[in-house]
Amino acid sequence: METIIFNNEHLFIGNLGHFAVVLAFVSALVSTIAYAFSVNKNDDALKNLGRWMFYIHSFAVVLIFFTLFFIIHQHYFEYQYAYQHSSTELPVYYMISCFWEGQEGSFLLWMFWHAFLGLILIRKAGSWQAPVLAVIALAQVVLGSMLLGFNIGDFKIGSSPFQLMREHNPEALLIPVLEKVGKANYLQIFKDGNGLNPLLQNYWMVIHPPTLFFGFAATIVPFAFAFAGLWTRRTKEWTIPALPWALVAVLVLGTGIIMGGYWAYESLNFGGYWAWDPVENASLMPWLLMITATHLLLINKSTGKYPVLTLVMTVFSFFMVLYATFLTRSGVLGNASVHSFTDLGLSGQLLLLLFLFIFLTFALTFKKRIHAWLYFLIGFLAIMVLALVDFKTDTFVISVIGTIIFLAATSWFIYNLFKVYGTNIETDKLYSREFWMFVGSMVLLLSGFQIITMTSIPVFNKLFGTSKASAGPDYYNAVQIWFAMAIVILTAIGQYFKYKQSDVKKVLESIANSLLVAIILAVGALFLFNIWKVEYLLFLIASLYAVTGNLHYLIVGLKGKIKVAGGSIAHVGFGLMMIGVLVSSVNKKVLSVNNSGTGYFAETTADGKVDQTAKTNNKENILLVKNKKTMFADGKLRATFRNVSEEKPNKYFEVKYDVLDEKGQIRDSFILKPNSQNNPKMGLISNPDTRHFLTRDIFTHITYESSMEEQVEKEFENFATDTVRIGESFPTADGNRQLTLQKINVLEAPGATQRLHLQAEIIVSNLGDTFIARPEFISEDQIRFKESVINQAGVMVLFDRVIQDPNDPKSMLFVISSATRKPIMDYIILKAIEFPYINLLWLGTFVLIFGFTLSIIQRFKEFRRREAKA
Amino acid sequence: MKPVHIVIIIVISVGLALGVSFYGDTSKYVCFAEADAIALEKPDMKLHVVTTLSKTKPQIYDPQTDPNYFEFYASDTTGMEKKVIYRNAKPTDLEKTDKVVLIGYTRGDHFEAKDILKKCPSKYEKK
Repeated sequence: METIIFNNEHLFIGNLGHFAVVLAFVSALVSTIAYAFSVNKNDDALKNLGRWMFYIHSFAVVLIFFTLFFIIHQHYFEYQYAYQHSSTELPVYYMISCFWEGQEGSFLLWMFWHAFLGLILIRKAGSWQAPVLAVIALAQVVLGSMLLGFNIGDFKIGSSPFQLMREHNPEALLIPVLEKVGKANYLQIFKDGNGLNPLLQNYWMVIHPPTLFFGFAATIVPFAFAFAGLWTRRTKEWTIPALPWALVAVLVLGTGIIMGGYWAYESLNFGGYWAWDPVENASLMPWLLMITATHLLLINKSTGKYPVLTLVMTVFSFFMVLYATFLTRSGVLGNASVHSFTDLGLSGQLLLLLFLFIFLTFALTFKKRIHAWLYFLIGFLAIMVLALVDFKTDTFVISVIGTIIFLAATSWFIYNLFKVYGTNIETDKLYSREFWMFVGSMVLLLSGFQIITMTSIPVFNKLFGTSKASAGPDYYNAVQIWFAMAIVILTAIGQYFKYKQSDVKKVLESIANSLLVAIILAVGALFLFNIWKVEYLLFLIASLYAVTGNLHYLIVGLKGKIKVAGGSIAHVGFGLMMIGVLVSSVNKKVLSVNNSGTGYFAETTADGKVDQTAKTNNKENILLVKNKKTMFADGKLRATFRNVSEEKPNKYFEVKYDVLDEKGQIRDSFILKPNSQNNPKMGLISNPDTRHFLTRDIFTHITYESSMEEQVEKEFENFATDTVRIGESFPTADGNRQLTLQKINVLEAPGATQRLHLQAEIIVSNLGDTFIARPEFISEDQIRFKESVINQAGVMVLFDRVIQDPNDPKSMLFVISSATRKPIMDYIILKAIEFPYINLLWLGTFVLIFGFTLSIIQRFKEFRRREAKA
Repeated sequence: MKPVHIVIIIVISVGLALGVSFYGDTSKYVCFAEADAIALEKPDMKLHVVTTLSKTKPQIYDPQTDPNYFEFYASDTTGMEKKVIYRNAKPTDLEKTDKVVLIGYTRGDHFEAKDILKKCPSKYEKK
């Protein structure tokens, strides 16, 4: 085979990247082994080796990161990653977003955060360092393998971000254009990359993914402490260091999720911040399990109760992150999500990542090491073989066997855990905080369970050959409102009880008092928010109760000591968020209700009339013709589409809004500029613009615009000739436009010459718009006409001749011909939605984040005090 | 029986109830022929149909007359073609999609799509 020397390639940087990938993988592997043996042998030298290897590993991860960034920044399009995800036009601050457009980049980001957390834990984990770091290093080995990009026969291990474009896609070198410049000079042709997905070119998309990934990554820390607790049989102590990290994971992951919601609200056009899309759910599932685990950790730390459940929830939160990664990265979601993800063929490795950690954890519950290893090897191998075969062949029997094995393994794990911890549950008292927190945790778990099962429907379909579809938002909302209601109530009730035993009378008194306040407030809020449905009203009272109850406890119970009040503050924030969610979604109102021009295609009843009760009719999009004032929202709003301006690649549509009072006077005016981007790769992307008021948001986006329609000038039709007087109105032949002859201007009268030049002024009205047509009639040696065409109304008018009125010789009649065609005009189709009180949601978010931060500080201090004592 | 046992029993029963109800309630992936059959018994049950757009058949979207009416043809995985009415603005990037998931029900001679999920393979992938 001939070898071609390719010109202008920068191979050194890619080789450096490859080297860094291999170095990261090997050093993580050595670190894992060294740390693991140091745990079992209690050997400091091995521990040091493990630590140094982790330093080297972290360095290698950073090196991969910089190498890849350098390639993107220098526009080395010979590399597949740069070619596919960036372009020369891309500003530097969006180059960072290229990392999370590709899967390799997002694995890298995940590894980066793991390495970061590992470095902190080396310093801060104290006596837990070796086992905890062993776990993190092992995760790095598996994640690192995703970037290796080795092929062993047909089997692919990982996908390298440093692959050359011509290796990834050899056909690229076969394109005919290359014959001119020669294959060796292929880079003269491939001068620019594919570019970044325009949806990612948004400032929220620069910070949302790293935050979310930090949250995902952080779940490994509480897991690692639980794992270490089982491993070293410090089965009671692990909760103390795990708690603050669980809080960190909940806080960061929660912030990441909310950021995603805010981004969706500000820049996507589905009109909301949450759509129960599988990809959104995939981030919510681990969060719900982690928040459950956090509450159980709190109980366990204070009372030692529910140790098995605490451990199970902690480890399953991490498993859920791995499972969610599998869901979103393996292509199994298929038709269920509006997000599309390419399958890099890493499904096998993703399953390995998931089952490796699950079976290692399960194995730790065996007393004898040999049993643990046997269990692990058999269980892990069995499930991996079954899963891989099943993934390829979709065999029903294998699915059933695999599911049974998995359920049996999980049950065995829990059974073993009860043996480790002893099964005697202390008598728990109804009037204790731990009991009510436990109840709350169970509700959170159920809520999570519902979301997990619904989101996993595509997985069940794949396993068992069913064809269930994922449920829509309504289904989730209908179920989740009841869980949310129970949760907000419990946040307030739980606080009043003390751990172990409390004074029942006092507690009930406080509960009753704060509930009363909540009900009184709810009566007021009822009118303010306009909420009249029973379940919503109950939810409103419950959420208000979370706010009043927790505030009351903060002031009376904690005497306003902010430092220890993290929990209460977070609960207040959650209550506010729930009120915001309730009010903004229940009273979310489409303003752009279209009542004109409808009915043409509406559903009809049996006798052919428009069926006003038809459920299928939608009037949510409204036509705005350029410069024409259009009223909507029952006359409370008036919008005018005024202008289009282009800032490549975006097109901005300037829409002026007037807020009107009852008398039709303008109270307020503002301009919104929703934009659209006609992307060659993705078609038209419409981005909304929102006007924020204190008590409501007005959200607007373009659903269609005139330049998308092929507006060809059609032939005129419906010709008619009318003989009329001045001031007379007459319809066009198709009956859709009204013409009125207003007056006749004499431009030139016969005098010096024989020339007669007349102009008719004809008012043309179409769909409430009026235009003036001015056809002319000229009589010299021959007669000429100048027709007048009004494109916006699709009308042509001719001034044919003047005749004497046969009935009244003194007056004149004018003969006017007209014809019509489809009007050509500039217009936009717009959708406007009002979100009332959505600011409560954002306010609640900030309060929640503040509360979590306080808790984290408090719990880290606690851990440091413990370690200092020990 | 201790309170904790009661809670555990409640949790398990609610969990089971959710599991059972989700199996009964949720929509299914069907083809047009199945959707027609189901519509006879449960006219308002929303179903999912995976389709491809019939690009040669005419589409009707005349926003100046009614911006909330879009009519097109699509064929399901069995190859059966049907008229689809989507009472909303025409989805902007429909021409670029190769697979369209329709969510809705059969009504007379056509399929009423209440929702359209588009799959754009081009989103993250070239070509």
